[in-house]
Amino acid sequence: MGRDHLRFGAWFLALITCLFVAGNHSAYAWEHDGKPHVTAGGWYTTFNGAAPDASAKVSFSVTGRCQDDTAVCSSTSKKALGNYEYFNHFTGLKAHGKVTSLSFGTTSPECSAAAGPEFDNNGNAGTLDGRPSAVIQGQGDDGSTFKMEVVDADDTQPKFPDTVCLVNVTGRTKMLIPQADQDGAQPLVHGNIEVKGAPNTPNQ
Amino acid sequence: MKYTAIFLTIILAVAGSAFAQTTPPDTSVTAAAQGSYPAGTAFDGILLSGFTIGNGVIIHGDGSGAEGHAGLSLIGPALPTGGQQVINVDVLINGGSSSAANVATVTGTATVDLGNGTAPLTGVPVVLTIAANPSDGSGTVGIVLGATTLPTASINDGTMAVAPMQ
Repeated sequence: MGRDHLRFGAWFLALITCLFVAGNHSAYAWEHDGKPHVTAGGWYTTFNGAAPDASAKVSFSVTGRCQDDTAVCSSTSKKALGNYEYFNHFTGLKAHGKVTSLSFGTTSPECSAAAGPEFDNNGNAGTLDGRPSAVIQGQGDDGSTFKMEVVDADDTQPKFPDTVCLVNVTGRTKMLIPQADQDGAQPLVHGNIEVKGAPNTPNQ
Repeated sequence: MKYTAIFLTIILAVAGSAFAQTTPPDTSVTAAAQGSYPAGTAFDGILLSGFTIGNGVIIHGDGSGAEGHAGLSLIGPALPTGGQQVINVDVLINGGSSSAANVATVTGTATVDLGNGTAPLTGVPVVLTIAANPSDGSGTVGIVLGATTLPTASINDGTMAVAPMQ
C-alpha cells in the first residue's frame, strides 16, 4: 500500500466520521423523525353531555410517542411519553394528565364504522380505513381518565377531515362535579391531527 | 501524513465529545382551555372578550425545532344576527423553545378566519407563550398574532401543561 493510499484512506475516514456526526447532530434532524409519534390540538363539536338538541365545543390536545420509538407501548412496557388535555366548554368537564398507553397504526374498524362514509370537498366518497391513527390512553393526577383514537385523514387523497373516535373521558368540572363524555366519531372543526411513522396495520 | 493523522485525531475527539453530550428531553406543550381579555383588547379593529385554545406541540429537545398545531378561537362582539363573531386561528407550529420550567414559547404561521365573511388571512406569523402551573393545570397564554400583541391572559377554565417527555 503506497503513501497516497494511506493519505486517501485517512481522508476517507475523516469524511465518514464527519458525516456520521452530522447525521446524528441535533441541528440537522430530530432523532425521532419518521418514528411513530402524534401531535394533535384543536376543537370539535360533541352532541353528548350537552343540553338536549344542543351541541358543545370540546377543546383537546395530545402529544405522544413511545420512549423506544416503537408503535405500541404502555406505562409498564416500553414507556409511553406525552400529555393530554380535554375540556368540554359547555359542561365544564376537564381532564389533564400523562399518556400511559399508545398504539400507532391505521384506523381501527370500530372507528371507521363509527365515522361512517366520508366525503371530500369534491364529493369523492370513502372511509377512514387505512388512514394513520393513534389510540391514546392516559391518566391524570386529578383522577381523570382519557381514551381517544385520533385519525390523520387530511394528508392523503381524497382528503377527509381529521377525526377523533371512540372518545371516553372522565374527570371533574371546575366545581369538582364528576362528569364523563363519550363520543363515537367527530370531525375536527378547527385544528389538526398529525400521526407520523405509524405502521400500516389497523389499530384494534 | 503527520498532519493528516493530527487532523484525524481532532475529528475523532470532536465526534467523541458530541456523543458524550446528553440531548435534553423533548418538551410537550398541551392546552385545552379558555380565558378572558380585559376591555379594549382588539385584533384588526375587532374587540375581543376572550379566547379558547387547543394545542398539541412537541418541542424537539435537540434544538431542531418543534411540530404540532394550535387551534385558537378569539371571541368577538355579538352579531346582529345572533351569536358572536369568532376569529378562528389555525396555527401550524414549526419552532419553539422552553427557556424555563413549565414555560414554552412556540412559533408558527396561521390561517386567520375573521368570521365576518371575508377571505381568510394566510401566512400570518404567530408566537404563543404558555406558562403552566403543574400543580393544577392553570396558567397564562400570551398571543402575538401578526403585528398585534394581545395581553397575556390567565385561563379561567380548562388546563394546560408544559412538561418534559421523559
